[in-house]
Amino acid sequence: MRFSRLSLERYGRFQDCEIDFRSGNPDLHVIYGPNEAGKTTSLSAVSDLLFGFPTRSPYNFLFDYSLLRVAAVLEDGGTTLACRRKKGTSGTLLNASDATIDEAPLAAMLKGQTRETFGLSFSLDQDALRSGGRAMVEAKNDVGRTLFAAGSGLTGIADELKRLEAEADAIWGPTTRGSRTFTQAQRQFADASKAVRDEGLKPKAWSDAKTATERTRDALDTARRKRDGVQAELRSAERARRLAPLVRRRDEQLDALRGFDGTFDLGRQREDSTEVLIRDADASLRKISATEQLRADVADRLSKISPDPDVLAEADEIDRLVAEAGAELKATRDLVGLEAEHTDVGALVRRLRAEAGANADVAPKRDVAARLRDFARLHGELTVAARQISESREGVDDRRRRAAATLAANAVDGNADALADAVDAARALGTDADARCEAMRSKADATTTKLADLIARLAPWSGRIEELARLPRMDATEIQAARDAMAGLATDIRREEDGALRASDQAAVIALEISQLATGAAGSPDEITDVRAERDRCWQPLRRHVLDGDDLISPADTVANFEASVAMVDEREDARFASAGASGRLSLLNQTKASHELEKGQAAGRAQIARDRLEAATSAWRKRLADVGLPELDPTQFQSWQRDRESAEAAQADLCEMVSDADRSELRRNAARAGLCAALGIVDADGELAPMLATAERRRAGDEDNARKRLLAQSEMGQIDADAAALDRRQQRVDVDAEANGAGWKAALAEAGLDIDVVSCGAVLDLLDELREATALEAQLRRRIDGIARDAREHSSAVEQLVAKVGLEPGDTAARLRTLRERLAAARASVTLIDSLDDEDRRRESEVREAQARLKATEESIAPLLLETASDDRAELAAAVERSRAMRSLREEIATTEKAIVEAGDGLALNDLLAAVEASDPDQLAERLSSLGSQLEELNLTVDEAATAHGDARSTFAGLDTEGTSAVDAAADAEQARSELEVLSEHYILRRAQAVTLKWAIEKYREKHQDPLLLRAGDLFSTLTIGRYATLKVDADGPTPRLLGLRDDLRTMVEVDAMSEGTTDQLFLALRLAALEQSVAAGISLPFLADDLFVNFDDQRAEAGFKVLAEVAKKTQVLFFTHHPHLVEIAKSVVGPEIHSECSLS
Amino acid sequence: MTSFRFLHAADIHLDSPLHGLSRYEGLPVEDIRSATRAAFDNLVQFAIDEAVDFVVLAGDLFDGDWRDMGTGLYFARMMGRLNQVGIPAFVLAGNHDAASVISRTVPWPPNVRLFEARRPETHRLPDLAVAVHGQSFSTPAVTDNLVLAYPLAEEHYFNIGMLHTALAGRQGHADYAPCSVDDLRSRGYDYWALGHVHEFEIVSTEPHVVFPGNVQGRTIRETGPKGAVIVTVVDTEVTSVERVELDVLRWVRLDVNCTGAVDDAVADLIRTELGRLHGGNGSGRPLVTRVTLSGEMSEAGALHDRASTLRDDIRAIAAAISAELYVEKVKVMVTEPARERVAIGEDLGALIDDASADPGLVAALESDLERFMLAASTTLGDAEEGELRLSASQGDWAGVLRTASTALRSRLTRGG
Repeated sequence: MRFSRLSLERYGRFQDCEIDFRSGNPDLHVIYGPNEAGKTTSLSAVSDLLFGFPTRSPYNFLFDYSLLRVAAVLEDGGTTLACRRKKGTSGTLLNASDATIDEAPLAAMLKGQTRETFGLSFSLDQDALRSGGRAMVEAKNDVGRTLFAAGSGLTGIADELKRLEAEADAIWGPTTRGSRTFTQAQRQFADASKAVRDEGLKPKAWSDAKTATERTRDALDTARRKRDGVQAELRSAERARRLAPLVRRRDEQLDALRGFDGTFDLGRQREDSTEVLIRDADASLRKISATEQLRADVADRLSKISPDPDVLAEADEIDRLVAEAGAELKATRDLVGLEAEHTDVGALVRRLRAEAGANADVAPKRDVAARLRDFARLHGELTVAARQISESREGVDDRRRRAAATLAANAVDGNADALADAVDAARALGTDADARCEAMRSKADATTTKLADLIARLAPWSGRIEELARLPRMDATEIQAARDAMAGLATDIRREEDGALRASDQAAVIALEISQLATGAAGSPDEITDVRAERDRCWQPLRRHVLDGDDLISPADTVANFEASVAMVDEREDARFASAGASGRLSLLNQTKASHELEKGQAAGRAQIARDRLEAATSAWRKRLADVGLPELDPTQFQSWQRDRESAEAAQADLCEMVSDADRSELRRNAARAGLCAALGIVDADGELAPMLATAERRRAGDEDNARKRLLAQSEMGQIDADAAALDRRQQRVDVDAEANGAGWKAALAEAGLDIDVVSCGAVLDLLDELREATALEAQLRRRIDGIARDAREHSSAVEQLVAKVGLEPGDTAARLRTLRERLAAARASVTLIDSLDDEDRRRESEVREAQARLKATEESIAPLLLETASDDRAELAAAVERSRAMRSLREEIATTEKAIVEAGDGLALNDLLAAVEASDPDQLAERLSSLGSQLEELNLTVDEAATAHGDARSTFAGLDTEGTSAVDAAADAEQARSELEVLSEHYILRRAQAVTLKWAIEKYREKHQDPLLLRAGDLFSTLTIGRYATLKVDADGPTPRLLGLRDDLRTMVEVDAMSEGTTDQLFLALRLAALEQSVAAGISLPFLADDLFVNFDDQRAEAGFKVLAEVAKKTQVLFFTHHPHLVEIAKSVVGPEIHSECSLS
Repeated sequence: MTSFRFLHAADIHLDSPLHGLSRYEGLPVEDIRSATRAAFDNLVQFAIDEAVDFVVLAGDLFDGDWRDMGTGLYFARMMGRLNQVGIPAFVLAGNHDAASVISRTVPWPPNVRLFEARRPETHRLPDLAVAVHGQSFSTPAVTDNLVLAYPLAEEHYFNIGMLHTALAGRQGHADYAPCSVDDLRSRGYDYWALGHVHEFEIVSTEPHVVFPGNVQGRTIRETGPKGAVIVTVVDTEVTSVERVELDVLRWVRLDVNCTGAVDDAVADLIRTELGRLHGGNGSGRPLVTRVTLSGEMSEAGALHDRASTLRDDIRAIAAAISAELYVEKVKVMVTEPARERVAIGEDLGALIDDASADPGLVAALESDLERFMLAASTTLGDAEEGELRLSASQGDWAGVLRTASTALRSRLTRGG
């Protein structure tokens, strides 16, 4: 469909404005009009023509809605449709004669497009281009969604691609990164390879070290050889020097030896033996002489000794008597003590006898005495038992008296059981019975007070609680319903009042705006109407004058008035036209204001109705309450009153229960107290239970104590009777025993013949025993004294006899015995000495004989030596021995000297050494030694150095053969790393190949499924950007697909947001035109109306834009509205002047 | 009647690291580091224990590029042990030794008889009437037929020829000192002690021409038992050639056919196969295995896709079976059966299916991996057959893309 002609008959500021669009290819028309020329109006007119006027059109400022007309001649295929459109609700499509025509032909041409879809797709200004374009790239509309459809299915695949790339990247990447496995393995490989190189033992290093070892060993050997040569020379010189004194000494010794020529050499052994013989001979001679002398001394001493034979003959007797004398002496000393003791015992015997009296001479038999003792002991025991029984009997009597007194003192009380029952009953109430009664009573009192308060809170209602209980009860749902209803009404009132207020405020705001607009040039329709009415009024006289021939009162004034009114109308209309927008706005504002005021009125009315209803509801409610006697409160208050009432009633119930409890408790307490009083036998006075209970308990405790004491006393009486009976039985037994004992006693006494009583029996018997022992002791002592005197006499007699034998002077026995003993000792000593001297003499004699024999033998041995040595005697022989020894010693010294020479001669032979010493010159030797010493020192240093060097070289060489395998290990490690690299490279190649394949497939897929719309938009975009962009792409890799511009380098992708404003416009235009072409291709061929779309295009791009439009215009009509003359020129240059179609809105 | 025994070994490659075994928890690092030495220790100990009369080592004692003299000294110490018990050792330089600075420097103990490189040389053991002929390599790559210059057998001697050769060619081994068995026969020797080929092989028994294989497997290419041979000679007749296993760690390949297996079953399948492998290991030596998953299965893509975690999973399975069962690598070689259309967006699936044929994509991938391939090539050696890196380095981008798209499709299907 295309416009052949567009007529703005009455539309906006246009009246009878006609634009013809000549047919041609491209069907591109530039409609030029300066600013305010009505481009937008024209565009709007097209839409109004095709789809009808909207309810409120701003283009009625010059012509009334009813007058508005837009007309067109439309062509579609071979069909031509001339139509006009007026404003209205139906039948608005007219023919040339304002008659309604059928919409169907037009609708067929519009292919189902609506005003909105037409506006979106076929009618564009700058703003719509941008907003629509933005919606497209954000996929907010159908076109946008279509654009991105191709890539959207591949989002998951794109994720897979990312994973593949990430997996490959984790292995290797063009930039080095330590985290990559290939890089790691590569590093391990490099490290290990380096270790192989660094840590391996280089053959050359080893060979060099070996060579160095050998070389240094040779150097060391050489140095050592040199040093050894000098050392040998030095040793030789030093030897000569060292041996020279020894050689000299040898010479001297040889000279000395020559002095012993002719001396007989006995040899060491014979020398020694000869000397021994000589010494032995001399010793023998000396021994003989000395022994003879000693023998003479012995003989002399023997002659001086005389023995005492008489005494010696009596030696044994003397020894016996001497021994006896000691015993005698002791007995004499003991005798004194024995005598004294004898006297004492005699006195004791006498005393005891006196004490025993008549019984002293009686010696009762031991068994009789024992029996007497037993009877006496038994008698004592029986006596004691009788006494004990007597004492016990007294104790029993005493106890009986005390028990009887106790029984008498604790008489039985007959009322005790009643008292115990009363106390138990009182105790059953509990120890706090009084307190509980008190607490219950006070709690009831408190509840009474609380109840009074609760009743007071029920104001304005007042009365007693019983009255309250009689009041009817209002159902909670009823109260709630009333409350809800009233609250709903109150809300309505508030809402309506708010609505009224808001409408009033808005009306005020609009009034302010109106006043602001009115102060400007804007004129209201009313004003126009007014001036038009004035113009019509002024016209009427003239009309009547012209048509009807009426006279004019004042033609000039009338005409002037009419002209003035016409001018006024024009002026007003011009002004209104000039400020058509403001006028329209003013009109709109007036309507809005009126609307707001209406709203305000309506809201106020509604609020009043609600208030009335609320009042009615409140009255009904109050009446409902008053009728049943309840306080007239509104529902909310009543709800709380009702709650208070329930509280009061609950309190009343509690109170009743408490009073009842308190009464019950007090009743029980009083009964208990009365019981106690009765038991105690006192008058019951009202009051607390506790004091009465305490008194009763004390009384009860006393009664119980009495009963216990009586019980004990009765038990004691029983025990006392038993004890008394036992005592009687015991008394009888004792009496029997005493009698038997008395008879036994008497019989025994008669047998003994003693005169004693049973009590003193033991003492008398003891006395008699003691007397018997003393008498025996006295006799024994007498016998011992007599024995001692006899022994003394016998001893003295024996001594006397011996003294007479040996002829001593008479005298004291002891002194004589001592003399005898001393003489015996002297005689015995003399005998011993004589024996000893005889022995010595015999020994000496023997010695003399031995010495003489030895001397003889020695002399026989010496004799040949004397001959041999030509010595005359032993003295000469000794001298010969000395000479022989001196000569031999000299020879030994020479040998020692020669040995020393050989020992110090470094192993050389003696003759060589002697020759060498002979050959050496002592004067030059020192100098030679010094020279050789310094040479040796130097050579030693050289050897040390060589040894050090060799040692170093050897240790270096040895250090190389460490048996270490670090290089081998590193090689293995390197190989392992290489193996890993091989595997990783396989993985990497696979992953990259997968990634590249997938990427390629995705691209191919997208290309294959690329929407023609995008392709076409890409082409158009490329054209519009003069090739700066190659095409458009959809990036479907992100969470939402994105539209990207592919730059002319075919690599750089530019996001829409990153494009310049002009480029963005070009992109949006490309998209719109592509969509348009798609629509056209789909058969929806409607004119494309562009309103100054190239505002942000430079001339080049504007030219490109026109090229694109021209291309589009080959498929459908394009109407390009602009107020830029240069764009007109560009369009002309693009399509060529001959087919350039230019229309003017002027 | 003279009888004696000697030990024939070759290709010791002392201290040459084991290849292809990346480190992971549970792997006996120390054992792996010292594997070649431990195997050589076994060799020396065996010679001493068995009191062999002499030892022949037919080349490649050391790796050519190995420059740690410690290795040479270790070897000298080992030879010293043989010397102490009076066992002579005849040593020939192979291609690696010729390049080895160590073998030129090492101080050979007196019991070691080296063969010179300029011409064949003969060492004799008169007591045993043994003549050992040999010629060392003078350069790493000897392409002459050395045998022709070897002397003819000496009469009344047991003649042993030592030679480092691949004979007329052996797969996987450089064609050094080429010769034929007839060339060898022509010398009239009783025993040819060869080296260079790492697999045990008795090439001929008239006369005996023997490759003992290397002493310790060092890569997955050197699977199975490794060691030396002990030769018994009675009256100049070889009466037995017995293989002696000296290795301390054994390489083994384990192919797991996953045909028709679904994902969870694969782990069970691998567990079963590893268990069987472990159960069948009568040697008592730790096993290093390469697990290759093959066969057609619908979830082949999933296995390719999670190859990285699969390796850890399988190592864990192996560790659970035995602490002496290690996994070198896991090769995912499973393929997809002809399949119905995939469940992901039809178009995208079709695109991925067709990806490998797209030249633009090939170019993009090549460009994408260009820097990585450069970085990898500076560190890594040649890729193995079946590896993506090999395909990439050979420009077979379509091959890479085929694997990638299989894995990718599985990934998308699983994720989606």
